[in-house]
Amino acid sequence: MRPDRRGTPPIRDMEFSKKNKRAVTRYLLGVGDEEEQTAMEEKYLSDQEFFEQVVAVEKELLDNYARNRLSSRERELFERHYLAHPKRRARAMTASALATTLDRLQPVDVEAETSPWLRNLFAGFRGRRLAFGMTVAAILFAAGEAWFFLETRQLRSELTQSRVARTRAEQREKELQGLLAEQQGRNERLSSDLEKLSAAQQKPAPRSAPTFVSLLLTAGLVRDGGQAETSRLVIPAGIEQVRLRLKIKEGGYPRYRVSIQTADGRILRTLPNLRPNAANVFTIALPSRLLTSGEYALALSGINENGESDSLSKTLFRVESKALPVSRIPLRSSRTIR
Amino acid sequence: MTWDLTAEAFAKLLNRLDADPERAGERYEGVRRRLLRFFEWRGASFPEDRVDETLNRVARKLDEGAEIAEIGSYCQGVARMVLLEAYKGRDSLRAPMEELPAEVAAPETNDEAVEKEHYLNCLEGCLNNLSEENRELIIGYYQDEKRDRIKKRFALAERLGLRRDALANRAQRVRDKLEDCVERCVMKIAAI
Repeated sequence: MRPDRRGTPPIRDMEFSKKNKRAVTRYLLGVGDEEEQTAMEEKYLSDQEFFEQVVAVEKELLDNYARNRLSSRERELFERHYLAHPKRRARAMTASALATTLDRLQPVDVEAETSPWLRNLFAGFRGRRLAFGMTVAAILFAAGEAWFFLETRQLRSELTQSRVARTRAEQREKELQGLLAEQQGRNERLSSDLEKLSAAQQKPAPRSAPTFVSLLLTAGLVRDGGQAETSRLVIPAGIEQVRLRLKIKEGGYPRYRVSIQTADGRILRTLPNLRPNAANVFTIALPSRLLTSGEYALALSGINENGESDSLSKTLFRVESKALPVSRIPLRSSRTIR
Repeated sequence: MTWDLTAEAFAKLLNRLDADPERAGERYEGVRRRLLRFFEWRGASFPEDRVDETLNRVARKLDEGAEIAEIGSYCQGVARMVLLEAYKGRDSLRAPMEELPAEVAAPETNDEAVEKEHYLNCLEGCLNNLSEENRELIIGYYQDEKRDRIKKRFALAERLGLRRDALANRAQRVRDKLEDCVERCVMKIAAI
């Protein structure tokens, strides 16, 4: 997979053709058939330079989305496909923040700092004395120029920092006002939900069916290379509690910490002080409403006597929930983020 | 049956990538980076874990004495297998377009404004953590200069004493690091 450093010139040296760029954009936007996708993957997985070009196209796509420069069709595909993955969405959010921050800065002058004009200015002088005098003057001038350059650079850096701070403060104020208005609306909705919930709780619910489901997981499957299939937990309607049972090969730590994470990296719950039973099994009880349909990871860490933690395993499992969610959980997979 | 990645097996994998330890390390990082994007672009959940799984399986094969003619192609094959397993039992994120809801761009919510604020704050912190040179590189390279972008990038490359392609690669790597830093920071905030 390593590019040949002695052989053909890297692709970066050549113009990345418009055709290639279009093909990469199609790939990133999830357009195209399996054959097309596989061909693209074979190319970038085996060619580091081509891979860098694909990443460059991705960054350009992200920046164009953040700056509202995509065509309506591209925007639609971007929002439907690209933003549907949490990692890709995080990149888009970062690109949006970067565009916001950079667009508020003064354009950076990146002209090369060479002064050929200084040499040309003195090229016409021929007399020795004059040349000596001019040389001294030139040295003094160059020293002055260097001092001026350093001073300017320092000032520019301070100015940039101050601009960033000011724009951030302005934006914070604006967004806080927005938050306040949103919060008021939210309070009203919550009051309404609370009333509905109280009314529902007045009615006695029949409790003949079991109220929990459980899933037994074995720690370390993901990283150990023995994973065959992700374990699946089905939560039927009416189930109130989920019991996750995590089996470890051996103990050895005085206590353990278990975290339940969503596929986009959010930590739903952390249980900081657990001990396994005699069969080396942890039991973690959770309200079922916490787990909506999707993929989750159970991360296990061992805590030693000094309070230091060692990451031990991350076990994936998938939930299929048939329960109606009690809380309002906003759909976060694909949204406009500008 | 489970298998633990041992230091010995990992050393064998590195050695198979390149006999020179330094170049092997670079090559390993390169393979990792490409595989990570592969899983991300293909919509697999927990992409880092899928990459670990792929490389562990390759290391295991080598440790068992398997003869692998072309390590790059072999990694690709294993990665596809791991991807298929990730897809197994769930709907692919690359569902046909017509099956997706027509309107997915919801109006901005309170949560979203808060999230944007987190990203801006984290970005500010992560930019400040970069070296001065890298910060200038990010600002100079990605600042929006529609008409003068190419000219400015040439000037930036000249100023930093880099070829244009080297400048682009460096800017991308710094930005990748910046993205990782921001993501970790946002996740940390979300966990509080």
